[in-house]
Amino acid sequence: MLNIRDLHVAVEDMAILKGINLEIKPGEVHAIMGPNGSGKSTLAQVIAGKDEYEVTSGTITYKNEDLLDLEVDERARAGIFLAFQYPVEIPGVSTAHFLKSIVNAGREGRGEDELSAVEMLKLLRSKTQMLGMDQKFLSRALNDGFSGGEKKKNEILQMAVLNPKLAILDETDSGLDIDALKIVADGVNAMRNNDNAFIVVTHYQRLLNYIEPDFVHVLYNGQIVKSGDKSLALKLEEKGYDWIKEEVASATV
Amino acid sequence: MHNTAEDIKQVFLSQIDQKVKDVNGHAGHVGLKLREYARTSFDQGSFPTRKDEDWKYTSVKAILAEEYNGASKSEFTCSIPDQFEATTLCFLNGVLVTNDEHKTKVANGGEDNTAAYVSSGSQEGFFAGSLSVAMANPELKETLSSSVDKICNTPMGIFESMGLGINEDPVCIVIPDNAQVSKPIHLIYATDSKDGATASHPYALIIVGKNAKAEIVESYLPQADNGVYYTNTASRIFVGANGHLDHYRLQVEGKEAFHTAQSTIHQDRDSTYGVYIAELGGKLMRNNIHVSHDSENITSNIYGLFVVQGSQHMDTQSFIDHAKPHCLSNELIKGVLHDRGRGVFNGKIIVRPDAQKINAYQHNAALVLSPDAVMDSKPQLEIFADDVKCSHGATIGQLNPDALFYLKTRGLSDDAAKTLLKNAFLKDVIDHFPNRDIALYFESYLEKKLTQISIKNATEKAIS
Ligand SMILES: Nc1ncnc2c1ncn2[C@@H]1O[C@H](COP(=O)(O)OP(=O)(O)OP(=O)(O)O)[C@@H](O)[C@H]1O
Ligand SMILES: [Mg+2]
Repeated sequence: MLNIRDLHVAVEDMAILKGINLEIKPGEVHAIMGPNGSGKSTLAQVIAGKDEYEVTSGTITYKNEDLLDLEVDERARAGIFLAFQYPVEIPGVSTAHFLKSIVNAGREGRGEDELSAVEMLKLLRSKTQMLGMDQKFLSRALNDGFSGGEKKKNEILQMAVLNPKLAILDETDSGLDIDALKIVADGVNAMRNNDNAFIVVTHYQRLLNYIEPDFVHVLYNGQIVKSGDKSLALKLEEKGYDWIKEEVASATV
Repeated sequence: MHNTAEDIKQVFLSQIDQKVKDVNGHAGHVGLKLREYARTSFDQGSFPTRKDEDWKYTSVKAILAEEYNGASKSEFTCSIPDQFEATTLCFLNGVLVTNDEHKTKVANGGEDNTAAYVSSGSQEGFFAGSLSVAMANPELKETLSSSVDKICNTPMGIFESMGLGINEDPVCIVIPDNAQVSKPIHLIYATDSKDGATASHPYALIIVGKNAKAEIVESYLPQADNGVYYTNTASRIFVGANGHLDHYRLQVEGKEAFHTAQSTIHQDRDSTYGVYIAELGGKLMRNNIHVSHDSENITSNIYGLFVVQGSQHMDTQSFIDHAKPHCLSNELIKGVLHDRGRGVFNGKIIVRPDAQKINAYQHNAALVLSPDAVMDSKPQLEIFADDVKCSHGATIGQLNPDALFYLKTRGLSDDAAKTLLKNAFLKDVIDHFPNRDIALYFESYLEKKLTQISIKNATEKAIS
């Protein structure tokens, strides 16, 4: 589904990603962990298409197509979704209106008719209920004045209505209390099937108890320096990153 | 051919003289007094040039260079909105439509109220019709004379005096003391210029009595296949003690239209006046708003938006004169500029020495979305009282790139995302409209315009 080969990314001539290799197949969940500033969000944003980041070399293919050749909105309509670490506040745009617009934009992209008002209402109602969200939420301006937790839930709500093929969750669990975390994880697990895949960026092993990953990768200093199964996350939780940093240091000596 | 400004003035002056002669015969001395005052003011004034400080960014040369000989008054549709119910008056080329042929068209979905007078004894009573009809009514005589006296005692600018001088018969709305008019009064203006450039001069005299409340909507709507034309509109608005008027102005003139507007508002103590504006159409538009606070505890609200594309030029000027204590003024003007569009905002607030404990807020914000678009913003605040709360400012910016990226990652195209953000920017203004249904009416025209711009951009992108 997604194949990243030797990806190098810079911003304003400063190298941030320094040769990422990652292959993701349908049905898989990949967790990406790593210290602050190691490049996790950068990788997520590059996949989503943020043009501030310059791909200096390497390739990303998605469903056998050159992903880097697609516009941001084309990637989205092709099934890529990014839940932002810091969702953007957009005053003046009602959440309900926004959700309707993005659902219909996706349908138009697939050559489907717009949803009727009744079907749309049903969809929004069922997804907000699934996430234990108040309906009042829908009439507020998009992320405007939302609490940290509300913003994260709103990201998952958008994911749920769009039903993407590849969802990247960038620290969606940060700042969530345990109840909210369970609801978010349930939302993700309800969506999981053999056709779609998830990249879950997190600092906390706790999330991975609820969303079980097939692979855990450690991103450090712009590279994936270690990959393993979910036991790697437990080890990181227990021992921190120092042992990995040491491994990397001794390997380069 | 007329070339010099003086020649042009003489052409208009002779039109005024003709009207003064006509009126002299039949309409009574109040109408004549107004027209003669207009004639004198016009004769003493001169058309502005860009050397005048207040006209620095807007030249009226193009308006004056046209010869307005078109007289066609044939095809006409008065598009009555379905968002709100109203008492509707339709105007073609500045003249209130009264004949039967037009009545049937007006009747289609609405009502024809060329003189919708209901006795002032009732809660709902008001007059909406032509000034000559109003003056023939003994119940209105006194109110009208005192307003006319006030008008004739204040200076009148060149465009207003031209309009008042040439206008066939101004429209007159009188809301008697204590009346609460439940339905908005909607004035719909249309111009037919198929047979040549046309100038029309709608003039409105609006009087809201003591403790009375009303909503008035002015719509300047486009007609199909319109060529060059000129709308020169002016209103004199009186809001009595503790009265309340919400005044809406939707301007969607045709592509080749010139539009000048002047509103002068006289408010009595404890009154509220709000004007809610959308400027969307026309080639060159200039709107002057003049509010004077000559009594205590007055509230005035000015909320306006504009959108320009192509080489549209829109100039909004406001002057709020705080002369008395305990008053409040709020002003917010927002604009979105595309292509080679031009926007001007000149907002002046004077707080005179007596005007203690007043609050005056003014803000102008613009999104300039093309390197060739220009916004000139000049908020001016002059304070001569010491115990007041005032703020003013102007911001000029672009769309937030992070917001654009966020929206696009959800599958919205670049144009759809931009349209959404522009709408959100302007919605801030519409959110202040007290009447939700009228707000929806305005939004429908705004959306139409933003969609047109988005389609145009998408097509241009596809070609290049
Ligand atoms: N737009 C930018 N301009 C300049 N530097 C940037 C930019 N974006 C990211 N960086 C830098 O690149 C590095 C990686 O940032 P990134 O946000 O990808 O880290 P992260 O792994 O997501 O960290 P965290 O765990 O704190 O979220 C950091 O040093 C950051 O400061
Ligand atoms: Mg990050």
